[in-house]
This record gives sequence, C-alpha cells and structure tokens, in this order.
Amino acid sequence: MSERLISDVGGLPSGPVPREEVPQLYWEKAMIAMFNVLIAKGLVNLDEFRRAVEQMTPDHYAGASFYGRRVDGVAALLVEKGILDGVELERRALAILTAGTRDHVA
Amino acid sequence: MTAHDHDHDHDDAHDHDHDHPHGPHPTREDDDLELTYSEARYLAMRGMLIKQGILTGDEIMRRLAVNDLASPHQGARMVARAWVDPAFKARMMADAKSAARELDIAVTEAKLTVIENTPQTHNLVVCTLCSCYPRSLLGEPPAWYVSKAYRSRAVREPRKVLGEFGLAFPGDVEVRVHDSNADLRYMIMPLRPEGTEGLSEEALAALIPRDALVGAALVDRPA
Repeated sequence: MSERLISDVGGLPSGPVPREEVPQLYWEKAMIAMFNVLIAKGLVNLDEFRRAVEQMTPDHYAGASFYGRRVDGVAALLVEKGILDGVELERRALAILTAGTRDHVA
Repeated sequence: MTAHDHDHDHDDAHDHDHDHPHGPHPTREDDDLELTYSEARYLAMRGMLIKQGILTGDEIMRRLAVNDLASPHQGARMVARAWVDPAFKARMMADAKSAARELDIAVTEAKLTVIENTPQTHNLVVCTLCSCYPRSLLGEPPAWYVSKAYRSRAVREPRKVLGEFGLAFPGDVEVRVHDSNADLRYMIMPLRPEGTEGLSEEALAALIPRDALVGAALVDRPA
C-alpha cells in the first residue's frame, strides 16, 4: 500500500463526533460564492482544488480550519496558474490583517 | 469591495494608506468578530481578482443569493413529494436532478442519487475524503459532517456513530454507508413516520430534519 493522502481519513481511529452546530460566517459564505464564480468562469475546477488541498503538508492540513483550507487551496491554484501574484497576495493579506478592517480592500 | 458596498462619508476612498496599521476601524457598527488570517487572505484574494477584472463583486453577490436558496427544506420538499406521489418517487429514484427541477430546485452537482431507507435497511452518507454533500440542494453541510471524527469513523463503526446521534437499530436491520465523492452526491429518503396519513405535503416536509437527509436522524411522528 502506498501512503495515504492527508485527506484520506476513512477508517482511521478518532474520537466522538462533535455535535455542536457551527454556523457559517459571512466571509465563509462569500468565499464559497467566489470559488463558485471562479469555477463557473472555468478558471479552476474541483479536481484541481482537491489536488491543491491534498498537496498541503500534514501540519498545514491539520492546522487549517475547513474554510481556511478552501482559501489556501484556491489561493495556491490561482498563484500556480499565474492569475495572482503570490507575493502581492501575502502582502495584502497581512496588510488587511494588520489594519483589522474588512472595509478597505483596495 | 464593489462600489455599492461602500458607504463612506468621504468621496475619495483611496486616500488611506492601506498598509499602515491604524486603530480599530470596523466595517459595520457592532461588528466585533475578529478578523482571522484566513478571512484576510480571502479579502486580499477577492480584492486582487476584482482589481484585475477577473470577476466582480456583483458576480459574487449574485452567486451568494443563489447559494442561499439551498437548504435542508428543499430536500425535505422532495422527500415529502415522494412520500405522497409514487410516480414522482419513481422519477426521483431514477434521476434525482430532473425530479428536483419539477419542484423548481436547481441541483448543480454532477450527479445526485437518492437512496431510500426501508424497515430492513438504514443508509448513512459520509464523505471520507473531505465534505462532498449535495450543497446546491441542502446548503452547506453541518459541522459534524465535515469533522475528521465523522469522516474517519462512519465507515468503520457506523452503528456506534449512529448511537452517538441517538439512533439504535436491531441487528436484523442492515446499516449501509455510502461514501460520497466530487462526482456523486447522495441524499437519503427517510422512512415516513406512522400516523401521518392525514398530513399535507407541506406539513410532512416540515417534519423532516436536516440530518435525516443524510441518514443521521429519523423522522419523528408529529408531537
């Protein structure tokens, strides 16, 4: 048997299923909608996205939230395809985080 | 942000130094949800895509509105119709996407298969690899569905997992687990509870909880 993909957890031991309801945040909904628009425009597809997530390091995969992995997977694809400049993306993300505002996203 | 999202009280939104850390500047009043790195990354990505003309804020908002139409109630409507209309049920079992269109529900996933619970067989849906779920029909999956614990254990010890959801089946009831993937999503048609013969289709749909549509709950008779 080859090594498992990081996402391939079927049958592994694990604890109780967490039953708390975790409502989607607005940005998570909007990010999914943006992902859908990118797919509709043919710029990314689901299989590529799966591959991008599966290429994450185990630490990255385990440390990211469900929607965090989506953001990171889409970002990795857009940078890989030359659609976005990865350095500029990180610069802007850090600037937004530092500013702590959702408003000024120039 | 698209132009219509702005409600600045000044004309030139570009006179800020965006890279300069400044004090709290919430977008909306009382918006006290802390900005995370993931959200900041999303905002940066969106800003660049819009600036580069790859998509528009309006396109995202329109898609958001479409996505918001999906909800467990849409799946419940299909099940309730199938309970009262055997011909619809036959069409739904043969081609669930076409059957959904009869109820003005647009299912956009590649393939949707409906599996019927019977007194002899209970069915449970999982996506061990990630989170495949009929989103265009039911909306985003519940947090438990995408949890690593559920994804790991549902295929190995489904009866124990179902027990955590309060469901226990006698040994002569078979439990089948269906592992979804990007090309094939499942919805479960739960058993219609006894004592609901006089109920309208609408009232029947209202009985069906979200989790019953993936096999993690039963439909109780009305109180």
